[in-house]
Amino acid sequence: MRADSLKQPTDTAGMMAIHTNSRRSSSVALALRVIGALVAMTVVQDIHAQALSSRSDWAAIAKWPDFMGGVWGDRGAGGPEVGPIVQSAPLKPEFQAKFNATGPSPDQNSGSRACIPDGIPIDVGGEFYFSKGKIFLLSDLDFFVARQIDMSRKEHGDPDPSYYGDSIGHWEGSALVVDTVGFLPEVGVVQGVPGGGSTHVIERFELTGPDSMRYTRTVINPDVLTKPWITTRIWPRHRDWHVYEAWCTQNNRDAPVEGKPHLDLTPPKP
Amino acid sequence: MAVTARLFAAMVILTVSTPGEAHHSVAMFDADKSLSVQGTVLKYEWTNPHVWIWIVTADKSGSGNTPYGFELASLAMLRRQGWSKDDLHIGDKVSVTYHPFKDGQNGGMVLQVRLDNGRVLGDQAALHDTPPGPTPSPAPPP
Repeated sequence: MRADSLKQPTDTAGMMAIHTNSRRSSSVALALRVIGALVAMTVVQDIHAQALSSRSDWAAIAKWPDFMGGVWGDRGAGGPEVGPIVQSAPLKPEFQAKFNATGPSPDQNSGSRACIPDGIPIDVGGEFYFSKGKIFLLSDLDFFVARQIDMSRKEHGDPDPSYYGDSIGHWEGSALVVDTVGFLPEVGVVQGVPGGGSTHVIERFELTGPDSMRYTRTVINPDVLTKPWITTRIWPRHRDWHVYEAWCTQNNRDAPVEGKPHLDLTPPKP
Repeated sequence: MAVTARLFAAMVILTVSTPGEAHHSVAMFDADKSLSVQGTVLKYEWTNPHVWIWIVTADKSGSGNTPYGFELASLAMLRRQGWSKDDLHIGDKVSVTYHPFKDGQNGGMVLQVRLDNGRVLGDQAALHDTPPGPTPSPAPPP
């Protein structure tokens, strides 16, 4: 066979071989194209399904009660409650004595002077944000806090202890019910009375009007309280309020020194 | 008029002193005493967890300046009342009415700040004459 015949086959057998190869390669190409199209269709369908699922998720969220917009609370976006509500805590005698020692209004006993987050159940109220599987409650007392309420879980599991605990929520009719456990030991039941980590908080948020919300809170802690502490209050909605950046450590002149109350009155440089 | 004036005074105290409890209580201030002092703004600390106003007053001997420190609510709480970082400037002449520190140090908790131009901070009526905070949104349709 001449060398060029390899390049330019003219015999029938050679032509047939070429045709066969060509048919094979076009079959492979076709198969690849079909597989590619199927994969593409699957991906498109998957994205489409995800989009539909996303759309239906958001549509479901849109039907949730009108919590979003403005700040809920008596005095600010979050923050410790004061007065009769706090004083109604059924503290065991030894804790009541400790609480009374600093007067009805917590001061030196407050960790917030040292820029320690108050956590739950002390720092409540703020601005709601709904998201897929989660509700956020934003507040700005001493820190910019985005408290997370997980709407997708039914169980707490074994959460890492934290200041705001592990919050799981669900809807009971139009009421948002939030169950929280998993607190750090230093988180107070009220300011100045640490819960030791065993506090269990059940909160119920329910609209009573366009700009009014009933907030019912049950605090359970047999180590510190003589019985579950149940309180209810009506929060106004402040539609014109915003939540601001807040970092307690910025200029905290009230920070205790070596655990003792202190006030830094060093005049600033102009 | 007297009733109105008293009502305004009550409003000033309510709107300023109540939020002051947010970070900590007002136990360090003598709520039974209200004092006034005149001076020049040394610095306006528009900060968290509390806003502070620092002024200097002329010593009685006239030989130097005495600094006074005044604590207010948090930045967020003051913004919601319409205060801003531009309300006071270094060198402004002011008269501050305040609950003094119990320990006798110079300063305390601000009840009212009166500027040389007659503007009064802490007074909601005065704030309405100045750039206000966020405008309330209209109520949603029922």
